[in-house]
Amino acid sequence: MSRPNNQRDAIVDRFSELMRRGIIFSWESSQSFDTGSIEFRFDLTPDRSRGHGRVTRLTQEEIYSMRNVHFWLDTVTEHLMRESCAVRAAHPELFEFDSGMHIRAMNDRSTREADRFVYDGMMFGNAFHPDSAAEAKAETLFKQFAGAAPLIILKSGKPIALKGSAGGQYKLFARRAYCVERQPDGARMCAVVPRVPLYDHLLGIKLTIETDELLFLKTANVAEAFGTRSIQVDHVAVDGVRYFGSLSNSLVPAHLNCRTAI
Amino acid sequence: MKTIRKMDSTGDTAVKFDETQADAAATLEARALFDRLTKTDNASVFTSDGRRVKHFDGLAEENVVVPMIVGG
Repeated sequence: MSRPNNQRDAIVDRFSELMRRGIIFSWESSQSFDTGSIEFRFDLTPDRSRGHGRVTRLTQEEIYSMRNVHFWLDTVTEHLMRESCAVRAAHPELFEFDSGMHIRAMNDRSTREADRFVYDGMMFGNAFHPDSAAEAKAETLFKQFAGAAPLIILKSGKPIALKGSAGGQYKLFARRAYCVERQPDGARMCAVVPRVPLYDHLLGIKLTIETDELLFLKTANVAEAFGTRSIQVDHVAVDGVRYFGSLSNSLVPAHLNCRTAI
Repeated sequence: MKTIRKMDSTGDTAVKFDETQADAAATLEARALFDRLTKTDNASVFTSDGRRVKHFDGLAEENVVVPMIVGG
């Protein structure tokens, strides 16, 4: 039984591409009569005698499964690229200066950076690339709507205390993720005002808690350590009844059907 | 003169209008903005004394529009 041609072509294409890109300088393969596996030898330097070769094997199961061959090829490619970089860094004298490779590497890097910048902007606004003018404007707005004292406290790294419209107590920290801690249990809660500077986000959260605490509780996620991913208001109410019911050892209204308390 | 400050990536964008001139272009524009933000975008509008406003006529001198919060 012979290997399908498309597998062989995929392997040859990939290693030829690696040679063209200067990641490997030569490669050869040999098949084992005992196990049927194929052994591949790669040279990472122009001079084969320097001992910077790498060997890898493709097993028979992988040979007859196209998906695994591609997975294997990706793994080998990643490994060879990493090894090639390491050898080039350790032994630069073995390589001629390849301007094309440098240009390709720089292009790859600049493309990655640009992609990352766009992605961050889409996902997190300016959270990772703060715009100092926007941040200053947000601080001014925070000061105007929340006062100077809370701004000073937050900028010093300490939290400010908030009282929710439904009576809950919270602490607000000057950070974007998990900026709220419920009191007294310290549950870390996370809701954000998307795509705005930090102090706009904090002002939005502060005003929401103080005027519509239930909306905040419905929206915010809670740190996994507290068991549930989000606080559902009806669960809070039922849990509260269960808690006080068990404390006072009294009966709970039947319609709540709280087995814990009864 | 009243001001609506809409939070955005630049900090905020202010829209000013004279509430005594109901038919002025600036007032009509501000009213349209208020309706769009509160009804379509589910944003919340707060006055400088921390009160939440649900109608355009309830706006104070200084107001801020907070985009809809999302779980983080």
